[in-house]
Amino acid sequence: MENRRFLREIPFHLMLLPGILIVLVYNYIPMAGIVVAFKRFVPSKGMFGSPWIGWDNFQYLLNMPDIYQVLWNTIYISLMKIIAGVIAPVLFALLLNEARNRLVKRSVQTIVYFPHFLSWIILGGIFIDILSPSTGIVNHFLTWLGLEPIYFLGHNSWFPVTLVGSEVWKGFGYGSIVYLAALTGINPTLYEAAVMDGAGRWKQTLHVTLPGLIPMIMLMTILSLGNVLNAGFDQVFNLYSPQVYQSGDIIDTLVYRIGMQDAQYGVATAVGLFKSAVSFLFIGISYGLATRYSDYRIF
Amino acid sequence: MFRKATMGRKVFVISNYAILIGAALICLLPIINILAISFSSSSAVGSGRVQFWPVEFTLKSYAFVLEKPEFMTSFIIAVKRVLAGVPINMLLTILIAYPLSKEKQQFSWRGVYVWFFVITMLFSGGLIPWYLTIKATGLIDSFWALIIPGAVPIFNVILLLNFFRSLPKEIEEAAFMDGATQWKVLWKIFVPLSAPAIATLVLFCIVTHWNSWFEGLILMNDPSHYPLQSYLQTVIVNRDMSLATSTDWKALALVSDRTTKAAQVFVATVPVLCVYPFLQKYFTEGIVMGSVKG
Amino acid sequence: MDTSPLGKYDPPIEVTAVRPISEGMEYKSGESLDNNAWSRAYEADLGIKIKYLWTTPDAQYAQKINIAIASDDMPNIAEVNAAQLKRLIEDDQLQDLTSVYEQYASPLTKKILSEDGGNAIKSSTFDGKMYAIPKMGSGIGQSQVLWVRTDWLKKLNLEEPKSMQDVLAIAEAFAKKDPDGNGAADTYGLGINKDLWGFYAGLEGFFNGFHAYPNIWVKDASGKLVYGSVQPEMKQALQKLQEMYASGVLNKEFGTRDASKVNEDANAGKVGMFFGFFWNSGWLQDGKTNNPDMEWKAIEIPSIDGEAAKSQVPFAISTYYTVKKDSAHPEAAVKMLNLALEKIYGETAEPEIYNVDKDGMSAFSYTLLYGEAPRKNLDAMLHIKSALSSNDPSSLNLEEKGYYDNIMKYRGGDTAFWGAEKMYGPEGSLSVLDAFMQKGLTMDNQFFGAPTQTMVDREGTLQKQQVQTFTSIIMGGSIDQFDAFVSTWNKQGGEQMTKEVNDWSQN
Repeated sequence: MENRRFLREIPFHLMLLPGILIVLVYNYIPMAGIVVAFKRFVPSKGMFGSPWIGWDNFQYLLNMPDIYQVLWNTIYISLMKIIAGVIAPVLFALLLNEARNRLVKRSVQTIVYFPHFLSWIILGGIFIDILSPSTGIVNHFLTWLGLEPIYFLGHNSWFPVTLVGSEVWKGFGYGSIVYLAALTGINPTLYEAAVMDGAGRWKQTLHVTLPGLIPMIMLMTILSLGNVLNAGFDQVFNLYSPQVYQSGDIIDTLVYRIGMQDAQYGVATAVGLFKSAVSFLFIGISYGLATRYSDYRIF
Repeated sequence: MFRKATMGRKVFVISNYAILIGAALICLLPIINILAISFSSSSAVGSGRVQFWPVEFTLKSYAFVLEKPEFMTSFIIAVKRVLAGVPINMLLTILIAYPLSKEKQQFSWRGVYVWFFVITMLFSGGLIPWYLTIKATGLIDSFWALIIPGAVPIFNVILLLNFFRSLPKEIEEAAFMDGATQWKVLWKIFVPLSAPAIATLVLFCIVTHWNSWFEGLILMNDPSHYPLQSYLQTVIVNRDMSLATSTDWKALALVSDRTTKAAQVFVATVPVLCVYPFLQKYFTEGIVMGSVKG
Repeated sequence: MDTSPLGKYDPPIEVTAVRPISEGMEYKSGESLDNNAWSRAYEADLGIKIKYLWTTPDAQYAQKINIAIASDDMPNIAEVNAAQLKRLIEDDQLQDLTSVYEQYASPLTKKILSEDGGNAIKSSTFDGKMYAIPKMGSGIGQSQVLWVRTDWLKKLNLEEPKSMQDVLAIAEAFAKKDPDGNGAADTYGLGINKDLWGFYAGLEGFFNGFHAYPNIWVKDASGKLVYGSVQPEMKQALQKLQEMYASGVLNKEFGTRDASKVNEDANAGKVGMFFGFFWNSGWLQDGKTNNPDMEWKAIEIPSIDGEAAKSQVPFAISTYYTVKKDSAHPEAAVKMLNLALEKIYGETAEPEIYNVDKDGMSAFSYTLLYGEAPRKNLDAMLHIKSALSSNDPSSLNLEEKGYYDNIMKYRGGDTAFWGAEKMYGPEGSLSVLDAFMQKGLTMDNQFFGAPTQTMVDREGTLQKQQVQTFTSIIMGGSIDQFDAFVSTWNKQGGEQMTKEVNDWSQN
C-alpha cells in the first residue's frame, strides 16, 4: 500500500525536482547567513568564524532612540497600505467589469497600469511639484473647490495619508490584474441562475461576482500581511524630509540613514531577521485563521 | 439581462465611466509630465518652466538616447533577459504549482513542499551570503546570473496553484479513467484551461525581468553588461555631491540633463507597456469553463 | 628589480584593481579603460598591467566596495572612503604601506602629499602605520561663497552686502520689493534646501557669518576640540532664520525642496541669494540661457559684527587608495602615483597627453591613482586672470587654456560660457576662495581621523535630531529647543564623541 502510493507520487516529486534544486542552492544555502544576526561580523573570519555575541545586535536596535516611534510609523503606514492596497484594486476591477464599452475598458486598463513602471526616484520629483501647497496642481484644484491648500508632504498628519494615497495611485492598476484574471474564472452559469432568480446587476455583483473574488482577495491579503514591516523604503526615502521624520521615518529609512547597511552587517542582518520573523508570524496566524474559519487554504 | 435599464442603472453607468476615465487621467499625469520634459529644451526644464506641455520643443533628447551605445546595449540585454527568463520562470512555476495543487490524499508530501517554498518568501540570509552563493556557482558577470537565481517566483506559484485548484475535478478524473498520466493531464488539461492565469503570470514575469535593476548592478562586473533598468538606475540616481573633490567639479557643474533622463525613462517603459494589450485578451474577455466551484 | 620610484618591472607584472567610472568619462575613438594614454604609460614606463576585476558607475561604487569588504574580496588596489578604510584596517585586510611609501615615493609625490602640513598622511596612519595613500585634493573647493543676483541689486538700487546685516536687509528687499517686476510676491531672499547643508543652498555660510560652524569640530578658547553645531553662536543665527521664515524671506516650502529643486527656483528667477560651492554657476547656466539679464556674482561671506567671518572648510581628503594585504607588489601603487604626478606636474610633465589633451579629453581621469596640489584650481584662476589682463594666453597649460577660451567666448557674446567667467574670471568664485585663503579667513575641520566608534553608532541619530530641531526652530518653533537639543546631544553620545575626538588630537 505504502509502496504503491510512493510509486503513484513519483511524477510529482520529479516535477518539483528542478525547482527544489534552484531554491535549495539560491535561497536555502544563503539563509545560513542568518547566523550573522547573532555574531559580531568579521569579514576575514567569514560568516561562521566570526564570534558569537548573542542578542547584542537586537539590543542595539531596540536601544536606538525613537525606535518605538519608528516601529509604530512603520506598522501604521504599512497596515493602511495593505488595507487600501486590497480594496482599491478590487473596487477598480469590479467597476471595470461593469463597463461594457470595449475601447474604454481596454484603454483605461492599459493606462492605469502605467504608474507601476515609474520608479520613486522619478515620481518623487514629480510629486513634490504637483503636491506643493502654493504651485501644485492638486492644491490649485482644492483651492478651486473652495478648500484650504494642504501641505501634503510637509505636515505630520497628512504625510502618512499621502504615502498611502500615492502608493494606491501607483499600484491599483497593476494590482487589479489578478482580480480581473480571477473574474474570468467565475462560472457564467452562476450569473444565468441569478438572473433566473430575478437578481439585478447590483445583486449579481453582490451574490456572484464578489463571492467569486473572495479566494483571491483572501490570498492577496494574507500574502501582503507579510509586508507589515515593509512600509516602502524607496517611496518614503524619495518623499520625506526632516519636518516629517516624526510621522514618516520607518525602519528601513532609519537603518539606511544610520548607515548600518554598510558598517554593521550584524545589525543589518538582525533587522532583516526581525522583519522576517514578524512577517512569518502574521502570515502564519492569518493562514491558520483562514483555514479554520473559511476552510480555505491559500497554499 | 435584457430588461430595460432603470434610471438608477443609467446613473451608475455614467458615473462608472466618469470614475474610470478620471482614474485613467490621474494615472496619465506623470507620463505627460515626463513626455513634456523629454520634448523640451534643457534650459526650460532647468528653470522649472515645463509642466504638462513641452516648452521650446525639440527632439534632441531622443536623438541623444537612440545614439547612445550604452542605452542600446543594455536594451538588447533586457530583451534577451525577458526572452530567456520568462519561459524558464513559467516552466518551473507550472511544474511546481501542479503537484502542490493536489490534495493531501493525492500527494502526501504536499504540506512539506509547500512550506519549503513559502519559507523562502519570508526569510533570506541577506545581501552578502546571496552574493557569495552566486559567486560560488560561477555566475558573477554572467548573463545567467539574471535568470537562474530568481528562476522560481514563489508568489506566482501560489497564484497558479490556487487557480489549478479551482479547476473542475471531473475533467481530471475522466482523463485518469482513460489512462492519462499526470504529465499528460498537466499539459493537455490544466495548462490549456488556465490560459487567463498563465497569461497573467507571463505578464508578471515579463514585468519583473524588465524592471529588475538591483541584480544587474551587483552581479555584473562591467557596466556594459547591465540590463536596461540597471543602466537607467545609474542615470537617474543622483550621486552624492557633498564629498566631491575639486577634480570632478567639472562633471558636477553640469546638472545631469533632465530632458535626456526623461527621454530614457520613456523609451525604457514603452516596450513593456506594449506587451499588455497583447496579453489582455486572455483575461478580460473571459473563457468559458465548465462548472467552477466557489 | 629596479627599486627607484619610477623603476620598471621586468618582466612586467599584473595588479588587480577596481574603480568607479564617473559620468563624464570619455575616450578617444578606439580607446577604452584598458587602452588609453595612461594604461599604455603604466605598461611602457613601469611594466605594470592593470587588470580591473570590476568597474561601476560612481553612484554604485560604495555599495560594490562594501560587498567586496564584507566578503573579504578586495583587489590589490582600490579606493575607499574613511569609514571603509577603518573597517578594512580593523579587519586586517590591508597592507602596511609605511616602509613602501618611505622607500618608493618620489620626492614630488612626498611633496604634494604633505603640502597640507602632513594632515593627509596623518589621516591615513593608524597606530603609527600608514595603511593607505590619501587622494590629495582641496578642501577649500568645498567651502561656501555667497551667490547674489547683482541685476536685482541694481534694480533695487542696493549695494553689495558688506555685513550680515546687509544680507538680511537685501534678502528682505528681494522678497518684498518685487525685484523681477512681475507684480507678484513670488521671490525669495535666500534660497535654502531641505537638508539645510551642502553644496548648493546650504546654510553653513550663513552660520559662518555668525561665527558658528555647524557639523565640524573646531577649537574653543581653551584649545579643546568642540562640535560646532552645539555652540551658543548657533542660536542667534537660528533666531534670524526664524524671523526670515516668518516674514516670507525664505520659501515657506523649503522643507520639501532639495538642492536641485532650489536650483530650479533660482533658474526660474525666484531666488535672490544663496550660499553654495564655487562651481554652482554651472548650475545657474540654464537660468542665464533663459534670461540673459540674470546676473549672479560670488562674494565673500560677510560677518554679523566687526570680526571678519571665516568660511568653514571640510577636511580635504575623502578618498584613500588601499593595497590588499600580502599583495606581491605593494609598491606598485606608489609607483603608479609617482608616474601620475610626474607626468602631470613634474619636471618631465607632458600635460597635453596626460592631463587634459588638445581635444579637451580629461586624460587624468584614466589614472588609477591620482592627486592634485590643494591650490591647483586657485592657481589656474590666477594664471587665467593674468593672461586675461595681458591678453596673452601663451603661458597657460591646455587645461587652463580651455577655461581661458571659454571666458573669451563669453566675452565675445556667447552666453553659453557665462559659467566659466563666473568661476575663473577676475571676479569669479575662485578668486573669492583665494581671498579666503590669502586673508586666512578659513576655519578647517579640526577632526580628520576615521570615524570613532561612538560616531559610527550615534552620528546618524544625532544628525536626525539636529536637522529636526533646526528645521522646527526655523519654521517658528521655540528657540529653547536649541538648548534641549544641546543637552540631548551631549547625553546621547556627543560627550563621548568629544572625548574621543580630543583623545585623537592628543596623539
